[in-house]
Amino acid sequence: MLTDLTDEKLVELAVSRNSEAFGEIVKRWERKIFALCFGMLGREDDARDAAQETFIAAYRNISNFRGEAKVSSWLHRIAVNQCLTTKRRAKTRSEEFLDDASGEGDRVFVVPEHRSPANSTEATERLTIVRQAVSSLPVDLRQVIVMKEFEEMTFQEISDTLDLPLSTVKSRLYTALRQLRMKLERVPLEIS
Amino acid sequence: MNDVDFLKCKFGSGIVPYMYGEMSGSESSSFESHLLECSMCTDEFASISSARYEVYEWKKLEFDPLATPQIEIVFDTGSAVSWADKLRAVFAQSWAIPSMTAAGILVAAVFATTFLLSEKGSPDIAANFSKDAAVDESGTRSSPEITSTEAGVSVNTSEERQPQPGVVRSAAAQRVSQKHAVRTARPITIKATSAQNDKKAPRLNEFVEEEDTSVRLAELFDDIETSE
Repeated sequence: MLTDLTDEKLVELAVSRNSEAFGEIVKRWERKIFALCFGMLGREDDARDAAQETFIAAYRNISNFRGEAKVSSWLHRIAVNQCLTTKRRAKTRSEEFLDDASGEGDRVFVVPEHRSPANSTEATERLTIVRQAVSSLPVDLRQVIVMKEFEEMTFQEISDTLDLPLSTVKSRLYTALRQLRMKLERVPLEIS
Repeated sequence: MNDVDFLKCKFGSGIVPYMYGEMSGSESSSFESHLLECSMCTDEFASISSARYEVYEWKKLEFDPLATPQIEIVFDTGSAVSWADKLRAVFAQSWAIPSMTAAGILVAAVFATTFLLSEKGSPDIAANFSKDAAVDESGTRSSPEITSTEAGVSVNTSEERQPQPGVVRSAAAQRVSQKHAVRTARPITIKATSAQNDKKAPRLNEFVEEEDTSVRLAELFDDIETSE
């Protein structure tokens, strides 16, 4: 079973042109790579395209992976590169349209069919988990994350509202996200 | 990942500001270059981004579809009210007309009182009042009678002195006595109000010449010499 293999093992299989193995890697890391791209680009559609380009690039260069670093770190670096490329393109063009049709033939990795991101039940469960995780945060951390994500306030605005130094606001948000990450990692959120 | 190792990296504090796009251009470029070199920061950035995206998606799926509540506050948004309309609204009140009538009467009373008091003349006492009793035609000396009124204290002369037998009066003396009789017949009003007491002494350039009606000793001697 591919799901029982480690990332490194999957990469070894993928190097030998096992597309299903690479598909399993994509399944495992798609969401996190997408989140990383979203964190860098700030837009969903750009993040989606960048994540796609990341895995395409990873598959093309999978033979260069030597196992010196973790697969996740390797994918992260590729994702960062892709995001920076996207940013540079956005700077030179007024509108950027990533041609989804280009290179479609190169995409040989296969996402398992039973994977259904639109599964409403799983999505609902995940939202419930996230809501509970945020609610369980200490008040001073929760209010910062809510003001930033829901009210879309700037750090300066949060600082002025809560009468806190700017550095404290950033620090609290970082701490809140870290705690949230730890709480969410206890619950498998990967769609399987 | 070792949190201690991560914290040693000076770029670690840039993860959150960079993620939310609140970093200057030069700082962003430096951070991006660092991400390409530092796997620790890259992994941490990915981890934080993942947590952040979970919150973002939760907000998008649960909060954003919610309809914004329509909060209605009843304001008086009628057309601009002119001053005439406002005045009519005031007079429409049941208490308005009686109150205004009473106020008008009060104001009129105040004005009338002020006017009457000013018409009654100078408030000073000494100019019209003399301790030397005025002598009327019959030669009697009348001492002033002081009575108090609302407007002040009025002094009226009254005849007390009985004519003295054996006194031959000259024509001049009679003229003087007549003059005095005329003078003393006029009531003398003494204003004893507080306003009067507060009145300041007139300045020299404000001096108003008044008829001197007091009895002068020199006039008496003149008359006597003339008669002799």
